[in-house]
Amino acid sequence: MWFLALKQLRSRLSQTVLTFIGITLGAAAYITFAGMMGGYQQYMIDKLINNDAHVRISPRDEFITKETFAGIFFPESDIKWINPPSGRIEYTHLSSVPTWFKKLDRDPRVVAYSPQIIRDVIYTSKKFSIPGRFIGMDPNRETRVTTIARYVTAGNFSDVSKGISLIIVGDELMKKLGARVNDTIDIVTATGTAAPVKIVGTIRTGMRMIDERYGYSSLASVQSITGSSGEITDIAIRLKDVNMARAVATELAGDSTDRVESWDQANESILFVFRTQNIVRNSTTLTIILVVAFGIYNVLNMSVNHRKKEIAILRSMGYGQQDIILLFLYQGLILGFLGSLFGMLLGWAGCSYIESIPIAVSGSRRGWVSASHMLISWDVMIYVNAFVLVTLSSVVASFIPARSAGRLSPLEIIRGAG
Amino acid sequence: MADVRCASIIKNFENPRVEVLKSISFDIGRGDFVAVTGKSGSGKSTLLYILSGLDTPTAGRVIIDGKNIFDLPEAEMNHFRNTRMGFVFQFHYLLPELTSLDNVLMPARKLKREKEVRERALELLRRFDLEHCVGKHPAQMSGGEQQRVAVARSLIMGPDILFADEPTGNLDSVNGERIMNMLREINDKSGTTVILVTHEPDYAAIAGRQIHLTDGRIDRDKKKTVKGY
Repeated sequence: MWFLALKQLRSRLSQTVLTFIGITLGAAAYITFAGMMGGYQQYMIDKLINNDAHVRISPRDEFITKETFAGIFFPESDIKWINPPSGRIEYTHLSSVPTWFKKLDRDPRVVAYSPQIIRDVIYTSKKFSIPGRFIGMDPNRETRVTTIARYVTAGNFSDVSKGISLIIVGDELMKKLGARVNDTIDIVTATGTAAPVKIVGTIRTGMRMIDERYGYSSLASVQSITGSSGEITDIAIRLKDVNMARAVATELAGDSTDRVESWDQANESILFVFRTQNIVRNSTTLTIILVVAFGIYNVLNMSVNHRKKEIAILRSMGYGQQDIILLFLYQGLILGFLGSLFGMLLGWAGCSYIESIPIAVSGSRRGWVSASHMLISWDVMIYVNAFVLVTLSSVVASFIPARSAGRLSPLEIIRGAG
Repeated sequence: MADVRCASIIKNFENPRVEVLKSISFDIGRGDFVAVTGKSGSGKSTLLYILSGLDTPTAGRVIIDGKNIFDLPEAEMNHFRNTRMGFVFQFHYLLPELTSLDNVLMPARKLKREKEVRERALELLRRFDLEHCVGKHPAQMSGGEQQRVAVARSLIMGPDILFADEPTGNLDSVNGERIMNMLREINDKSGTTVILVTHEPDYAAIAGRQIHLTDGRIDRDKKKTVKGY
């Protein structure tokens, strides 16, 4: 039946070519679309994974509600509060840091971990004051866990541990304070005490949240300035396999009172945006494929109607229903197969072109979120998906006319004609 | 070779209910040339389609080689039709996208034997004076040529039985005669059983046996003692 399928496609060349172009464009559009979105998402996810810890241990926020007291007072009866309790149980630091260290040291999945102390402070200099975060850490450990050291634009990340009260700040933060490297600024803590620190360097990540708010210093400096000696608020952990993050986080959380979150849990909102994007992409894809499928359906349906007599004669010479179904199915398959093959090429070309379009984000080349050109995903799965989806939908779309062709009674056609 | 026996075939059409064939029984021997005649509406075409298994009777059996063809599973029936039956219709029903040679080879493609029988196809085309049409598409041929290609196609698998339903219906008398001569020659030389439906008495007279239908009943079954004329 291949022979006849090809001949029939060739005999209606203009229709065949038009359908073929439709399928090609459909597949190409899918690939380009998926490539662009995938590229952006992959880039963002890479940044999220590499710039922050894979797993982070931090103190838990616990709020007091009705449920907090459920079963404590009058456990036997149904309690109605006139004024429901409210409030917050404070955990300003991790409960048992040495236990964590021991646990993490033993865990073979952990590559490195870095204890941190993170405090909200107000940076002041002259008459400017800006609220921000004051992060104490061990630079050697920190660089093994996150990529933050890569974005240092002045000085050295390890400089902060060369003395007491030395700080590396976000470059926007420094600008807003009207300060320069080697200037001394003040840090005002929550309790109102102020302490001078010296700027020894700057970072620029391209993320405003960090560039305008963060200052990095040694553990000892932050502990002493904020009056929380010996306290650790966070442990940032890097894993061998980032895909294990969620599982490891869940396991570590165990019966601990601290909060253990994997990168994807912490960035739920961004990932939610990605999911939304994917839904948009999938529905667009579905529309494209529907259009393609309808095109094929239409062409083959017309073809079946035009060829009723030929179907009848084929049946009379001993071709069975299956043969007739295959005849049209093959036509759909050929169109779908070639169309998606060329669509892959065209989509690849489209992606290459789009990738070459220059764009400028954040103006800096060294930041996290900055790229000199459009980001395109070259994931093989996109091409495999496009191919399978388009070819499959072509076959499905051609099945309906093919089946109706198979069901035609040869006799009625012959009788109808005679 | 096959002999065809049909036993009390009844065919009714529904909506509106018409009794097309009312208990038809007869035997056709091997190598017979039978003409089924009758007015239009007498049921002669329906009878032919039932004999060839394209249509199913309301009741009755068609026994070819001792087997009721309506008991055969579909695949076997298709195979039977492919290898042992040939069909010529009033219209040529050639596939327009194929050359006449490919059209003739089409039945052989079902069994992937098109290479094997290619020589035979060329020979058939030569025999029917169609050498100049080998590479032509149906649209490039005359009506007579098209119908001759159709006959060649029906013979490619060397059928035992050739069913012809008004094969001359769309042809002028010269071409019609030519087709009839071809049918007779096939019957003579290869011993192929030919069952011809026609309403033209002249053509029917060529057959060795004429079965005349009126209102779904055989009202005349005339055999010639001498085969041919």
